[in-house]
Formats: sequence, structure tokens, C-alpha cells
Amino acid sequence: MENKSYWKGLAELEETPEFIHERDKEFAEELPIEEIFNSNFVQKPRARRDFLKMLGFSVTAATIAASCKIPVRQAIPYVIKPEEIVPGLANYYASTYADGSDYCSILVKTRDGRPIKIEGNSNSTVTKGGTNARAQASILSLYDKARMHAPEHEGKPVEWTTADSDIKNQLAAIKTKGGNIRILSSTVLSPSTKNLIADFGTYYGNTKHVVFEPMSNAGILSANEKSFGKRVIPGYNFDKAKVIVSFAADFLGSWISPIEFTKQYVTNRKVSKAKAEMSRHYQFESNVSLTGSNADKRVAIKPSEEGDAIIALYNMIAGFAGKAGVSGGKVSDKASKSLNKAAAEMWANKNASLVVCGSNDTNSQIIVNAINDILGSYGNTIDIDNYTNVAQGYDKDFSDLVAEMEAGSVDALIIYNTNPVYSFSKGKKFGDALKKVGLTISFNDRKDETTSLVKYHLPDNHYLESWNDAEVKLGKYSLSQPCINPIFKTRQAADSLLKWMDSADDYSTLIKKNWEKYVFPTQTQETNFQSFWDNCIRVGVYEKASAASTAIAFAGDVNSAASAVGGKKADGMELVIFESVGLGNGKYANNPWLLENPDPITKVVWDTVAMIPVPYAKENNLVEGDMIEVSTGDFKMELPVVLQPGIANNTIAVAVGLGREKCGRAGDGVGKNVYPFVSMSGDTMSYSNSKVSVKPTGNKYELAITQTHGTFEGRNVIQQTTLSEYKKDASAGNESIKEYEEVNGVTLYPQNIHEYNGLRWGMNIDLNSCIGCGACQVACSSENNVPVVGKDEVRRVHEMHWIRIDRYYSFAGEKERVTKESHSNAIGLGNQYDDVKDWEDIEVVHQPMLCQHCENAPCENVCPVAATNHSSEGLNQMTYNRCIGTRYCANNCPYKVRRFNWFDYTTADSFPWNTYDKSEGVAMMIDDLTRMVLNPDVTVRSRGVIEKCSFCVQKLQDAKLNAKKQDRALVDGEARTACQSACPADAIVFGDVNNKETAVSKTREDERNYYVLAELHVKPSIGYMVKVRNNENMA
Amino acid sequence: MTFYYKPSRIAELTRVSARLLFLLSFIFSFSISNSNAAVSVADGQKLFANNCRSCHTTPDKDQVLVGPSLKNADKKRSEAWLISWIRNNVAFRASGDKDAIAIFEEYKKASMTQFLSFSDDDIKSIIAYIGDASNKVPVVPNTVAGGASGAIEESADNYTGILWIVVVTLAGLSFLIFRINNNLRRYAGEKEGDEIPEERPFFRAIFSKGNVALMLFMCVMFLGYWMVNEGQSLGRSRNYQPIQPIKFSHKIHAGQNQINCLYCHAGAEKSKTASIPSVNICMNCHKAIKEGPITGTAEISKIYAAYDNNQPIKWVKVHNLPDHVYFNHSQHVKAGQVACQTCHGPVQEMDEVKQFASLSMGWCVNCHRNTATQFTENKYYDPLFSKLHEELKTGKISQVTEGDLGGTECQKCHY
Repeated sequence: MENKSYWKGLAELEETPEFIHERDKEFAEELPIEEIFNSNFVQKPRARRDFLKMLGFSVTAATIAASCKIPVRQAIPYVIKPEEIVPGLANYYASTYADGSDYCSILVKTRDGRPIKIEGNSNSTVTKGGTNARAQASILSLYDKARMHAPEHEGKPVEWTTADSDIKNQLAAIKTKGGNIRILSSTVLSPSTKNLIADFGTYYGNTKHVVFEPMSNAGILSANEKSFGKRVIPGYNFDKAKVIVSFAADFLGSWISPIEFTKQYVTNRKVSKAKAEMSRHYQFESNVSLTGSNADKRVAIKPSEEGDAIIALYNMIAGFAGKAGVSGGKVSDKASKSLNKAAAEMWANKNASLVVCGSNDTNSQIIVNAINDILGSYGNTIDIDNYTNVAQGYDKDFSDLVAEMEAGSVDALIIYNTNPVYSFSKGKKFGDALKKVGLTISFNDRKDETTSLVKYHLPDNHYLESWNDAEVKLGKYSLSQPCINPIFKTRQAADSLLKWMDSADDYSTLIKKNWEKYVFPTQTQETNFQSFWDNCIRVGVYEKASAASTAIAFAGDVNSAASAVGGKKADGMELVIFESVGLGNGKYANNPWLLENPDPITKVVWDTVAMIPVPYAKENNLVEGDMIEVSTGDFKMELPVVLQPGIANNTIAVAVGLGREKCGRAGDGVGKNVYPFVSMSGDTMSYSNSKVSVKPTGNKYELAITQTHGTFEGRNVIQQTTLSEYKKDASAGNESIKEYEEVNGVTLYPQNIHEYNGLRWGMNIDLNSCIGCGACQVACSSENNVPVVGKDEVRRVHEMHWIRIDRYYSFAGEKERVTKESHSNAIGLGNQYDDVKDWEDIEVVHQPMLCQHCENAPCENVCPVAATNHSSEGLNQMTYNRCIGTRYCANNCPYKVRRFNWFDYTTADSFPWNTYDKSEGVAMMIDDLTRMVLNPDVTVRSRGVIEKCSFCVQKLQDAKLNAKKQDRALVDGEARTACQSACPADAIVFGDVNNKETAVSKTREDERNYYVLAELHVKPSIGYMVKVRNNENMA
Repeated sequence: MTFYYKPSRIAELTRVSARLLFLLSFIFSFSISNSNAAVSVADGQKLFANNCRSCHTTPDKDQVLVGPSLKNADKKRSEAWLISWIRNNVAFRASGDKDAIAIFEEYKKASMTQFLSFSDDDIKSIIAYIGDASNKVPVVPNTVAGGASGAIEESADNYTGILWIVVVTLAGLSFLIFRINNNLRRYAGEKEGDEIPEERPFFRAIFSKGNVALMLFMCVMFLGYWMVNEGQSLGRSRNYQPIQPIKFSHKIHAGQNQINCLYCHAGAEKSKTASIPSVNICMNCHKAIKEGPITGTAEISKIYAAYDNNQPIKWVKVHNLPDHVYFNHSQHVKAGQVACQTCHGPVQEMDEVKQFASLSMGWCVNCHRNTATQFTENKYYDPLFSKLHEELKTGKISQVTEGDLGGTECQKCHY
């Protein structure tokens, strides 16, 4: 059993007086009781007449309120009801969430004609039913009023027909004079759109399609072109890799295809007695990424060291293979040790190891290719034949385009789903260059930074309103189908192109024709195209068998690559720019669900922060929320700091994704735009900078950061062990369970033992699988109408999430638990850790925390009105209409999962202008249109009641009802909670624990199963699986 | 002196006893309405109207609704048979009674509601009523909307009269004692040489401090009772009968023409909402039927207008539940096999639909507590609730109600 101490934030580790003060209070803020009782109003002696006046007023008010007429409600049926729609019954349509580089095969839950929830589509072999936070939240963007309502020409509304004929005339003129037309887009996954763009080029001549991705992987494209003659991003098979070495590639969070990779990765992270094997995962990175937080060994290296680290690894592997090394590769001892171990392990697992690199530098990627080539990864863990179509941004094309525009040689520019004025480092330059283009058209969904500068704004449909197809990987096709009519007067971009080509077809017909021509002939099962097509729409995907691997020969020049990346010197501070796991590249900055979803590492919401190393902070006396100025010569910016354990010394990391100026009410002015820190290095964009100066400005800023909200007050809630210990003893790290089992078998209240005659719901969460991505949090908000509260409310610890992901740090080297006494001594002496602890070397555990549905629930017996009580199925039920808001239950909950509605966040029953918070993000959520996203089966809670996880009781009831209606028994896995369905890592198992055959019952038999705070004898319904780390001997 | 007590003390005692007597008569008068235990036709009629009427026509008619006509049922079956059947037809069928099973089969296995709370006298009253009503000439249904299901006269029976006499006697007695007490006091005062209080006039005696206090107390009690009752019914709208955009008659459609409820309200079996039929459902028949018996073409033409102009008909919702209640029709109609009339009343007799049940939570919960579920019929329950299956087998329990399965818990309807 390990005796580590786990802590959520520095304040908790050091037990600062402020933290203890906050921790010991049940609710973050004091109620203004004193204030009220000392106020004039209360203190002033009241005369009898005052009493009568008040009495009269209240009686009259109550009478008036009571005599209000019940409103007449109408029930308006269809005129002609579509056959497949039954009012009140949800339909699920298979579709595809494809937006730039984001891809997810999905099912859209549609109730009474409006989409309300996204679920993963398990028919896809790419995403396998997984989702991420953005896919989950994309449903909210459908109801975003900031989307353009109708087409505009130079800021004035224009009819579609007028715009079409004007544009057609201008394009025809350009064609006549042989002018240049450029189409600038984010990655296009749709083969039909790609075809269409090519046809458009043929139609008008001199047309070029440029793909721009703000967080680019162009380095991989060019490296593969130089190494193998193929400008592609290969498919990666993390499931086949026994040893994974990642150089700052956040493949679980934001790199290339995170959902796909997460699904693959966790197959080798789940351990059982039958399969007591795990992959080994080394992560060399500067900032703390989501992937790094899950690695077995995380080595902090500075951005300037990355090139040398890759060279060092190459030299070691080349040494094993008997090849000549290259010059360079001098790294710190610490990194060198781990690289040595990694190299040896990979060599021992040839053909089953994988090196990935998140750098956008072509040369770094060439060396990585060379390493993978020597290790035999190609054809095994890397599949270059079955390449992926995401992340096709090619930086050189884009910089060429900007140059062309500046030179005035572009006559027409069509912008489709990309926003370079915001997301290009020289956004202003791009904006100025736009003015030199004769005809500028944008299809973007809103009047964003770029679109507000173009002549024609012809808004595209939302993807849930559109027909489309996608080919995410070679031969892995999927379809999108509209689930709702366009809400606004928008038109699909592809339809606009078709109109200008005088095509008789609309886009949906074109897709169908394309599939008939290109996809249908590749299969033999179906002989009739229509039935093939119908089936594809129903299933959502059509997947060809993977292409056979062909032999490839590595032809890259490692030597010159090495000389280009190695030997970088940097003495001062360095800066890393990375993509936010939740918000992505900034397109969804107007999505309140994403804005309020805490960052998986920093747990900051609604803001851009600079993650700084702890030693640097101590040196400069910086604490959380202090402002620093980061400057890179030509660009500087003031940012609030977060003290980030694990980040490489002398490195600052900042995420992109916020700082939008024109995205809508929720996102405008939230955070800072840090894209200007990105620089061009050769032909590719570089996301690190080794020459930055940092100075504290002395300003303060109050962050909204949830990391220490809901603390366990030093109680140990994480159980962890190592793989070798686990192999020796399956209950390693979980020794206490037996002790608790004995204790928990005793009760002084036999009359209070619940009897579960029928079902008994239970859950299990595997800490080994959970990567902490936060998809479950958004899914929960979406399913259960969890309100968005805004930045100010989060600062006051009023966030409402029913499920939170607690992120715990521990010092990797630490084996002894730091006793509480020494902790107390450390109050005010925070520096004491600096001498003994390696702030770079930390381990992270993610633990989803939600209502544990305790059998002996402490909340139940303190409720004076029995608003929370126990069901015969083991649910701890919360009845909102009974709750009077004493909050005793929240006070008594050891898991801190009960949330109180301090305000009427979703304005269930108040007037819209009477809302508590005028902040735009919240205002957006109470808009009539946005409220369409609410789940009609779940009550919208009002002010003054407690709420918490219900185990998605509406879904359980629905599953039970379906079984009853079909006159059959309930099948295991039929009732699923929203968090479970959303999870891309399959970390959550849910079901009936009374039935010994169910998956969840089996997890309870597992030796790794433990209950958080089992010593309290509250008997939770949620078991957790001990975290097993495969981290021995990794240096 | 043979008086152990001072006469004034005695007078006080008499006064107290008079008041007690008065209070007693008051309480007694309250209990009158609940004091019936014997068999009576009137009781039977009342019970029948409240419990049986939604599925059976009144016994003077031969018509079959959900259940058979009960005309002369008292003669067809023995009293014991009827008692077993009415109280718990499920258990009765399970006991293997051939007639019971035959009836069940005849009516397409639509399970009749069980009335476990009925006493033998209750059931006998119903049987008596059936016997009584069977001999009467059928009442011509009232053509006024809702008239057919009009309230049944609450006829007072023999006992009530007697009880009222008792009340009046007691009140008179208390008044008499009160007077005697006054006289006694005067007499005692005279005898002891006290100052003789002036004889109070009658109205002053009535409005004495004590009496006023008592009356005030009674007023407060009554007002409180009234307020709580009214308060509880706030937001409830029993008998709500809004005017609909089309004078659609359920009586003609569901009653006379015997159209199955689910033909139009198809959602009731599948979905949360029973759903109001879309216009195309109306058109299935009204393509041919262009004239109605009451309104001629006036109302039917509204359907054509809606259909031709693609304008939906804006019906007014009759049954409204608060937002925090989750109610699912298919749960009751399909899974629970509950007849529509159980909650909606004899819709087939209503020209215009009105809200039949109170739709209060107490009303819901009572049904959940008392109604037998499809426990043995639905395979869903087979692998679950082994304990209840066992108890059912051993006869320890005769039926499984929704309450036994957790159907009265908060989160079955509120989430």
C-alpha cells in the first residue's frame, strides 16, 4: 500500500491559512446573516401598525397570487404526422460531427423535431461510440443565436437570389480575365465537398484550395512527403503498441484524432487478473498535457530540448540496430536516463512500439519517422496506407496565399469554416490583405473576426441541419443527415458553390450520386443502391476493409534534419502554446458548456491562464491570480498565472481557444487570444518560443478555478499501485478493503438496512481507464439540464456540475506519506517543499466524482423534509419540489457532490430580465431559442433547491419501460448513464448489482474494486478500480 | 348540610357538563356522515358511481363498455362469487374459478381493477344497487354535455335522520342544563345570601364570553379546514371543460361509433404523451363522412379547412400536469394495462371532454398503492423480485401493487 499524499492544488498541499479557512467552511461564502440582523430594517422598532401593514400586504399578495388563473394550454398536433415521429418519443439519427479536424461518428437524439443530445455511434470502427466534450457540446451551438440569421452583403441583408446572381457575375468576370480564385477552408473531411471544390476549380479555372489549421500538423505531412513520398498523416494504432513514447503529442486530448486514439490507448491500459499487462507510456513534454497526465513516466523537458531528446532517442535506437548515429542529442541527465530506458524497451518490443511527436517541425518529424522505421512500427503501429484525412492544414500553402493576397493577385477568396484573422498569428496582416481581394465571400456560421471583413457573408447551415459525408480515414466513410430544418435563413456552403456552377443538383443529390458512383461499387453485399444508401444512412457509416500495407522505404535525410533541430540553446524563459482540450482551436468559444467545463489540468474555467513552474513562482513571489507580462519581442500580453506542478522549469504554457472578439455573447472578451505568440519557422508554424521575457506586473486577477472546490480535507480517496505489485497480489493498493468489509458488516441500526428486491443500480469507474478529458461532464450537463452559472458564480464556488473530475497530483518519487503534523508546520512555510521535492516530476490521477448513491446516505437522515431519500433500487433520490433549501444535506455529504441553486440559473419561472447575472454567457443560456436544448424529461430546477447526480434516472426508467413494453427482461447494459455513454475510454460500467451476471457485478468481485471513504460506512454504490501504474524502472 | 360542595361549585360543574354535552353533539354531528356500516342501495349506488362506472354502464343498460353490462349480474352469480371477484379478481382467477377465467378471456384479458379496500358490506351494497337498478327502465342519456356522468344525488338514509334527532336532542338538553344551571346558581346565591346577580337576558347568555370564544374557535376551525382544502385544490382543475376549437364529440366517436381510443390517440401505447390525433387521422374517416348528426357540416368543415390550408388545429389541453411531474402514458396503457377510463372517466359519454380525476398526487399514489400490476403477466418481472414471486406463490400476498415495486417513491415520477 502506498503512502503518498495526493493534493489537488498547491494551496491544499501547503495548507495555506486561506485554504484551511475555505476548507473548513461548508459553503464558500458567509451568509450575510449578521449584516441582515444589524441592518436598519431589522433593528428599527416596529410599531403595531407596521406589523398590520406587512400582514395586510402579504395576505393580499398571497391572495392575488393564488387567484391567478391557470393558463390555458394548447395541444397542437401535426396536420400530417410523419410516420416515424411519435410525439414524446425520441428518435435517434446516425450522423457525423465533422468540423475541421474534429471528427466523431454520432447518434443525434431528437425529441419532437428538435435535436437535444449527442451520443457516440458504436457502428464506427474509428470512434467506436466514443465522444469528446466538443462533440457533446456541439448540440448547443445549433441553438446559438450568434449564428448568422440571413445572408449579408457588406453588412446589409441581401436575398439569396440577389447574392447568387451578383457573385456569379463577378466570378464569370474573373473567369474571363483569367483571374485567381482561392478557396480557404479548414480541413475538409467530406469527399463530396472535395470533389465539388475540384469541379468548381475546373468550372472557373485558376482555382486553388488552401487548407488552414491554426493548430497545424503540417510538419507531419511534409516529413512523410520527404520520408516516404506521401504527403499524408498516417493512421496510428495505439492499441498495438506495447511501448509508447510521445514527444509532446497530446494524443488523448488534442492531437490529430483524440477519440480514436483514446479508444485504442485504453485497450492496453485496462488490467485484470486475466490480462495483467499494460502498455508502457513515456511522455517527454514541456507543459502538462492531458496525455502527459496519464503517462506512466512523464519527463519534463524544455521546448528547446525537444529536438535533442528526439536525436538522443534516435541515436540510442540506431545504436541497437547497428546504424550510425547523428550528431547532437545532448540532453539533461534526467531525460537521458528515461530515454535510455525507453529505447531499450522499444528495441525489446520491436514492431510493437510507437513514437509520436506533437511538434509541427518537419525535421523533428523526419527523425521520429526514422526511429519508427528502425523499430518496425510501419505496418504495425503506424499504418501509412490507411492514412487519416484530418489535420490537412498545410502551412506553406497558407503563407503563400497571404503573400498572394498582399500582392493583390487574388481576385476572389472564398472562406469556408476558418477564421484566420483570429487564429493566424498575423491575423491583422491577413485582415489587411483581405482588402486587396476583389471578391471576398465567407460561409462561416457567424460574423466572426474574419467574416466581418468580407463583402459577402453567406452563412452555412449547422452540421445538424445539413447533408454531408466524411471520409475520416481511407475507406472509412460516414454520413451526416439533417435532424432539423435550418433554424435561420442559412444555406449549406456546398449548395452555394453548386448554385454558382449552375448545377441542377442540390448537395444532397450530389452526395447520393457520388456514393452511387464511388462507394457503392466497392462493396458486394448490396445489389440495389437505394437499399445500400438507406442502410448507410441508418447505420451512419460505411467502412471498407483496410487497405493492405505495402512495403515502404524510409528515404528521409536524418543527418540534415538532426543538424536543424539539435543543439538549441536557451537560457531564459520559454513559452509553449497548446490547444485546449475542451475548447479546441477557438471555434467553439461561444459555447457556454465548454467555457464552463474545467480544463482537465488547471481546472480553470472561462479564462486563459499562463501555467508557470512552481520554483519560478516562488522565486518571484507569484501566487495564483497574479498577473505577468509575457513578451516575445514584437508581441506582449498580460496574463494571470496558475502555478503548475509538473511543467518544465523556466517554461510557461498558454492554451489557445479563447480571446475571441466576435463570436457571440458568451465568448466575446473571455480570456485572451494567444495566437499572436505563434511564429513561422521555415515552412511551418511553431508553437514554442525560446526567447520570451516574463515580468510580474503586480496586478491581481481573480481566477475561476475549481481545483480545490469540494475538498476531502486530507482524507485519502485515491488507491494506487504498480503493475508488478498487482501481479504479485491483485489486491495491491487495496489492502484496507478487507478491514472495511469487516467493519461495514456491523450495524447498530438493523432496522435501517435497505432491502433491494428488484433492481439495485451500481456503478464502477476504472481509474486506469479514465483519462480525465471531461466529455462526461458536458454529456451530463446536456442530459440533465445542468445550468451554466458564469465566471463570477464559479469564483464563489457555485458551479453546478453533477459530475466533476478531481485531478490529484502527487510527487512521483514520494513513497512516504507526509504526515499531517508536518503539514501543519508547513503553514506559511511553503518553501520547505522546494528543497526536497522535484516539482517537475509529478504524477496525476483523475477521479470522476459524482453522487455515490450511498446506502447509508448521510444526506438522507439530515433532511428535515425528506426531500432526499432512498429508493428501492438503491438510488439516492432528490425531490426538487420537496426541497426547502436548508442545505443540510450538502453540509453532511462527505463527497461534496450536492450542488445548491443559489439563483434561478435557467430562469425556470422568473422573468428573463430579472435574472441574477447579466453576464452574457448565462444570458445566452436563458434565451428562448437556446432553451430548446433542454431535455424535456428532466425538471429544470429553480432557485433554492439542492440538486445532484440522479444516475440519469430518466434513462433508467426509460430502459425499464422499454423492456416492460416489449414483455421481456431488462438486458445488462441497456440502461446507460450519460457519462457512461459519452466516455471515450469506457471507464464507466453501470448496471444492476443484484444480478451477479452483470458487468458491474463482476467489477465488484474484482480485487481492485474499492469504495471512496469506505471507512465512513456510508456504503457507496459506486466502486472505483485501483489505479495501476506501469511505472517501475522508467528512470 | 348535605351538600359537600358549595352550590356555586355545583353550578359550575353543571355548566361544564352542559358545554361538554354541546361539544359532544357537535362532534357527533360531524361523525354522522361516516357512521354507515350496513348494506344499502344508496351506498351501493355511490360506490358504483365512484369505482365501477368508468368501465361498466349503469346496470339499467345492456351496453358493454370496457367491462360487461352488469344488468342482473346479481341474479347470474352468487353473492360469494361476486364478492371474491370484485375484491380481487386476479387472486380469484388464480384460484382456478372457471367462470372467472371465462369472463377474463371473453374481455380480451383486460384485467379488472381490484378493490381490496372494499368491505363485504360495501360489495353487498353494490350488489344490492345492481339488483335495484337492473329492474329500472333505462334512463335516456342526457344530451347536455357531461350530463350523463352527472353527480349522483346523495340521498340520506334512515340512520342519518335518527342521528340528527340525537344531535338536536343533545343540543336542546345542553341548553336546558344551561338554564337549570343558571337557576341553580341564582338559588344558591339567594340561599347563601350572596349578592344576587341580575338575571341575564337570553341573548346576553348566548353571547357570553365563553360562548363567543367557543364560536370564534369553531369559526377558526372551520375556516382553517376550508382554507386547507381550498389550498390543496389550488392549481387543480377537476371538471375543467374548456371550449375546443371544434365541437368534437367523444360520445359520438368513442361511444356510439365504438372507435377504439387508441385509433386516434395512438401515442398512448407507445409514448409519454397519448397525443392528439393529427388532422390526417381525422381525414381517414372524414374523407367519407361529411356531415355529423348534431352540427351538420359546420364543424367537420373545420377539419377540411385545417387540412387544405395546412393549418394545425389548436386544441385546448384538458389534462395538465405540473412541469415537475413525469407521466408516461405507455407505462400505464401498455405496460400496466390500465383502461383509459380509469383516469379519464367515461369519455365515451362526454360530448365535450372534461377532467374527470383530480390528478392530484394523492389520487396517483392511491392507485399505485391499490392497483395490482402486471406482475405475473409481464416477463420483465420474471428475473426480478424473487421474494414477491415466492410470497405470491405461497399465497402470503394475493397481488403485487405498484407500491410493492417501489411505485410510490419520489423518483418514479419526479426527476
